[in-house]
Amino acid sequence: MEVVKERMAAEMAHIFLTDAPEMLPSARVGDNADYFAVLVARVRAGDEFAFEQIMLATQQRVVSIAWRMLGNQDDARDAAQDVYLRVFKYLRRFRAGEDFRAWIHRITINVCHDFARKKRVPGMAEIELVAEGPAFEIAHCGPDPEGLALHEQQLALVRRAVQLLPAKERAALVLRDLEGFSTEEVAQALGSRPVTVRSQVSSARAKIKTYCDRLLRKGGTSQ
Amino acid sequence: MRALNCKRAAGMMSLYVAGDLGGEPERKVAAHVAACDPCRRLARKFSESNRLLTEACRPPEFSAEFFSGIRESVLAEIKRDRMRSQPSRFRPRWLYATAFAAVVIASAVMLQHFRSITRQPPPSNVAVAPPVEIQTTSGQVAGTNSAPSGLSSNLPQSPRNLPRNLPRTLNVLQPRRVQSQKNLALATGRSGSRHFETVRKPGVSVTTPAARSERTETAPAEQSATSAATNASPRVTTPKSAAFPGSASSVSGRAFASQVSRIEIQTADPNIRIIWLGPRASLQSDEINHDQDQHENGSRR
Repeated sequence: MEVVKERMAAEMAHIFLTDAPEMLPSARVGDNADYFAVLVARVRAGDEFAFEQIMLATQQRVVSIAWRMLGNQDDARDAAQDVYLRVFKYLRRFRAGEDFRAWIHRITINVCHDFARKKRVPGMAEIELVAEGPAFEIAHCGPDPEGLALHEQQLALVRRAVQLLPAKERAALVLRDLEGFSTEEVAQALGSRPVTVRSQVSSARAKIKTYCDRLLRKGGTSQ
Repeated sequence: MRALNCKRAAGMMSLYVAGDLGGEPERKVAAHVAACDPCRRLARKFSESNRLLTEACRPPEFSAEFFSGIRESVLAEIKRDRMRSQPSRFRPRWLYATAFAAVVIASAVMLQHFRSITRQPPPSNVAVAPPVEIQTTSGQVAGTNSAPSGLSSNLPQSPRNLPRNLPRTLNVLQPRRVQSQKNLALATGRSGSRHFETVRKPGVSVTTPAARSERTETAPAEQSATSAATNASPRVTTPKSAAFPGSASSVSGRAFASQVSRIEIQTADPNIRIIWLGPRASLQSDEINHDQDQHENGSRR
C-alpha cells in the first residue's frame, strides 16, 4: 500500500514538474518539506534531474557545514561530494514525513566525522599547544597590514581550535552557534535530545572562551 | 525568589549570553549579572569569544564553479555506479536461467526414467534362486528344460554369481527386478544342470499329475528351444497343480496346501534337500506370474 502511494506520488510529481518547469524556480525554496518530498519521490523513480534539484537546494548549507567542521575548502568539497553520494545511496531509507533537511545535515555531520577520523585529528589537548604558539605574542597589533595579517592568523587558530573540539561538541557548536539552528533543530539533526545539545554547546563555548581568553591575554601582554 | 550565587551563574553564563536560557533561569542570571561585577565581566568575555568564533568561522564565498563541480562529480559518480552495477545484475540472471534450465532437464530425464520403470509388470514377492540341481520329490529329475516362469522368473541373481553346488534359498524380491529376473531364469534354464520344483502338497513332496500335465502343456515350446539341456533346466511346479481335483493329495493336504506352499530344492548332493514352506499369498501371486510368463513365453515362441 505504501509502495503504491509512493509510486503515485512520484508519477504525480513527475507530471507536475515536467509539465510545469516554470514552477521550479519558485519552488526552489529549500525550506519547503513538500518540495523535498516531491523531489525525493522523483529521485526514487529514477529521475536524476530531481536529484540535481536537491543538490541545488541544499549545497550551500552542506558545504558551509562541511567547511566549518573541517576547516578548509578542499576537504569541504570532498565531504560535500561524499554527502550527496550517500544521500543518493540511502535515499530509499528516508522515511516519509521526516525532515529532509535534518536528515541531510545529519549525513553531513557524519561524513565530516569520518573525514576527521581519517585525518586523525588529535584531541582537545592540542588546543593548549596551539594556544602556546608564537603567533599570539604579536596579535592585536592594530589596523596596519601586518596587524591584519596577524589577526587573520589568529582567526585561523580559532578555527583550528574549533576543529580540535570533541566531535559531538563541535557538531553541536557549528549547528547551533554558526549555522543558527535552534536547539531543537540541532537535536533533530544530531539524533539526540535538546538537553544534551544544550550541554554540549555550553561545554564547547566554555572551551572556546578559555582559548580566546588565553589568546587575547597573550596578545595583550605582547603589546 | 532566591538569588543565584556566582558559581551557578557562571555555569549558565554561556547559555545566557547566547540566549539559550528562557523564562525564570534567564531572569535570575540577568539579575545576578546586573548586580555582580565579576559575572558581568565573564559575560563580556563570552560575548567576545562568540564574536571571535563567528568571525573566524565565517565561510568564504564559494564560486558557482565550485558548486557546479560538486554536482557534476556527484552525477558522474552516480552514472559510473549504475554502469558498474549493470553487469553484476546481469550475471546472476544468466546464472539463474542456466540453473533453472538444468533443473528442468534433469526433472524431465528423471520423469522419463520413472515412467519406463512403472511400465514393467508388477513383481511377485517370492523368488527362487536355485543354483543347485533340483529334482522332483518323486525322485525323478524334472525332465524337461521348460522353465515355467512362475517361480523361475523370480530368480534373484545372475547365474554367473551363483556358486555351484551350494544351495540357495528363496528370496523376497524387490518389485523392479522382475524383468531381469525373468531373463536370468531363462539363462539358468539353458545352462543349468539344476532343477527345482515347488509342490503345494503338504508333507509329501510329490509332483502331482496335474502339475506334470501342466508341465507338459506349457513346456513344449521351451523344450524344443532348449532340448540340449534336457535335464538341466529348473523345474517348477506351480501351486495351482496341487489344487486340481484328482490329484494325489488328500483333502487335508489340500486344505493345508491352500494355506502353505512348499518348495523343494535338491542340491548336488542327493542326501541334501532344501525344503521351504511359504505362505499361500506369495504363491498366489506366483500363480499369476506363472500364467503371465507362460503366456509371454508362448507368444515369444
